[in-house]
Amino acid sequence: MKTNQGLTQFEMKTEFLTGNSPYSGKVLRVNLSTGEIWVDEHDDDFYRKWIGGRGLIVYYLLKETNPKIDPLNPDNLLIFAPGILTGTVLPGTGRHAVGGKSPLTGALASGEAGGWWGAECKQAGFDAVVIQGKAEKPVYLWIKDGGAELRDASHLWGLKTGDSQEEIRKELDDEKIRIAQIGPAGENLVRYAAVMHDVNRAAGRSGLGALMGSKNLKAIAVRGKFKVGLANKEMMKITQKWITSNYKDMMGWAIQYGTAGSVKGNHDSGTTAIRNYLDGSLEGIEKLDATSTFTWLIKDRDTCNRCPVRCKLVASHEGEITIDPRYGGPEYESTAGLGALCQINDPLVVAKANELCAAYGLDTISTGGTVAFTMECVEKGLVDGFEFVPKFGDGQSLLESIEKIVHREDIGDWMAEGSARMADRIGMGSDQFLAVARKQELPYHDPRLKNAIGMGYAVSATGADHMANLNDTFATWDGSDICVRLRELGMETPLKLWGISDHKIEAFFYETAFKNFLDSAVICHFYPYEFQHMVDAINGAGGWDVNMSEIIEIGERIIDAARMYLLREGFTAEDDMLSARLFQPTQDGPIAGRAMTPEYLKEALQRYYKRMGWSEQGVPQDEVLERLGIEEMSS
Amino acid sequence: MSNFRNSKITESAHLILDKPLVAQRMEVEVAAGQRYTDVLKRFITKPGVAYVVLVDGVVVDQNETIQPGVEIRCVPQIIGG
Repeated sequence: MKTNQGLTQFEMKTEFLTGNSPYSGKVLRVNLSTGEIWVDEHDDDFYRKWIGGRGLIVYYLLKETNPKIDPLNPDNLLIFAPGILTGTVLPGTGRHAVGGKSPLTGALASGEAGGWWGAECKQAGFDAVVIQGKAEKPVYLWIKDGGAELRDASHLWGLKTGDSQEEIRKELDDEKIRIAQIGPAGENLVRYAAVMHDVNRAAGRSGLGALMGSKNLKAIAVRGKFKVGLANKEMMKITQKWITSNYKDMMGWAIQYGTAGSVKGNHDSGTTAIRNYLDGSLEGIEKLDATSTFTWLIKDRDTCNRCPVRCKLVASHEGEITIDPRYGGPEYESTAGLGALCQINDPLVVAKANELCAAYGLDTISTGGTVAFTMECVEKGLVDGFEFVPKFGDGQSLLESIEKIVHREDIGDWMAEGSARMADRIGMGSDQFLAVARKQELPYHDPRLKNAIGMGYAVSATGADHMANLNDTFATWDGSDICVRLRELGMETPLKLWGISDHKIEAFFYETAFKNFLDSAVICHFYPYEFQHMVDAINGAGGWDVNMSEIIEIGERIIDAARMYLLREGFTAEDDMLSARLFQPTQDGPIAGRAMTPEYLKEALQRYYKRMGWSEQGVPQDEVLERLGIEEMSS
Repeated sequence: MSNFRNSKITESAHLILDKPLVAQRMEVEVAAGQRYTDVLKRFITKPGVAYVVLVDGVVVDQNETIQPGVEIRCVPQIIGG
């Protein structure tokens, strides 16, 4: 395959060029095995049905990939998908999705990242980028103003993300280029490697970085001059004006400290898992909270395209442990996974671990989960024969673990496979220490407190996923955005906290439909948008006449299509389950003695299947697929 | 255990609320027998805020009834990150 041959140009349609359409109608296709570059053209019906983002990812995976392929097979697709609203004027739309078959779970991988890349991709003239094949040597894809070119990346292979970004920008002589890329973790096929954007925004979950590495694709650099337009600007202004008037009041928590301001609160409420889910509390947790770190470690704030909130933290420090501000700062999930879960309360260590994960391209959630699992195995004497082993509470051993995982050295080679595969190798009952769903390490919203989130982890096609889910502790307070949305639908609120009632399953159905819509549009979940706001926004973008029912149906379609993909890849209802540790309560702390049983979860899942119109085996019924217009995809 | 819970007052409970749920830290006595959610709505009026209720350090459902002599705290919640 030849590289550096110049841009292959594609003509843009008039509505897009004149700023009257939020999409170009063109999905860029690249075959890395042959070097071919072309576009798929889609009409208005396609965008109204699939929206973009996760919807587009599921569509392509079902339509074009062979069932049960190895995720690292060149025939797997790697898809970068902004949504219909990405790059528009609406606040909160500086996001896009990345997807494919997951190297970690073998199921759907669909991770959303903030930053600037998604909007820039659309401004470059493409609604999505679908990659197939494998390059014979490292390459990167350069996309600019309706054109695309494969370029040699041999000199970038092995570089940390920050250094690679600087090299690409220098090479293409443009400091404003936006870059999606992998670090050495993805190159070395670590199963939970992330795709990094703008160096510090991760499409982190499910090993998309390993998928990218398996294709010898180091990066996708984008730069665009087109304007992402709207079909009905007045309609969009309704939602735009509402959020502009209300975000300061409703998103005060994000404006003040970002998610890291919730570290202590989440700990105190039993949300955060401590010491691999063994303990109820961690001494010194307050040191990790942003209310403490803002005084000395967090030096700046950053933001995403079209976002006035600026919730991204930028850490910086000089001393024995230096923190490079290019890599941002630890958010809540990263702090919980790399800190509390590993029994570490040193904010400098956590910030350094976060920096290493961004620089090497690792998912912080799975990194924390895998290291903590290993620490427990070490503590219980199940691991030997290695030169190095990590220990609970030992910050240096966390940092060393990350280095060894990335380079697959010593025990790091086992850890690079994720905790579930590691338990298979260790044996001796170590699977009892796992906190996973579909082999993916859990985010730090403990299902022993949040039972509906636990059901969501178990049933989601994306494995343990806290975003496209129902957050129990939000649904139990009438002032929350979730309750406002549920009342929009005529539901009674608030919900009861414990258990998974029929009431909660109904709320779960609507919230997951809404969140799957958001992940397709693609919009930040922190924004407190209601259904009607999305109706106005989507009609403003597309010039459509969508109503609330259609928004729900779009979300439901994406959930069902993802379910069909999951079943096609060999999963069954038996796989809709949490691992053993998550049914074992803590002995002390705010949720002492609390946990679902596997039987209770199975029974709740049966009620959820019924609500979805699925069989007892979790299979969507023909009439549901027909109603959603995806019956042809079931074969 | 707080001094309050050692006192002889048994018909009320002690509510402690911190920023950011309220503008300034506050401690008040509230009557037992009401639902937590009904009492808290009177004090926490910020839009878009969700929280978990802790009674003597243990998570409870907000729909439960306030028991006399307990200490009530609220912990703000965020999603994602």
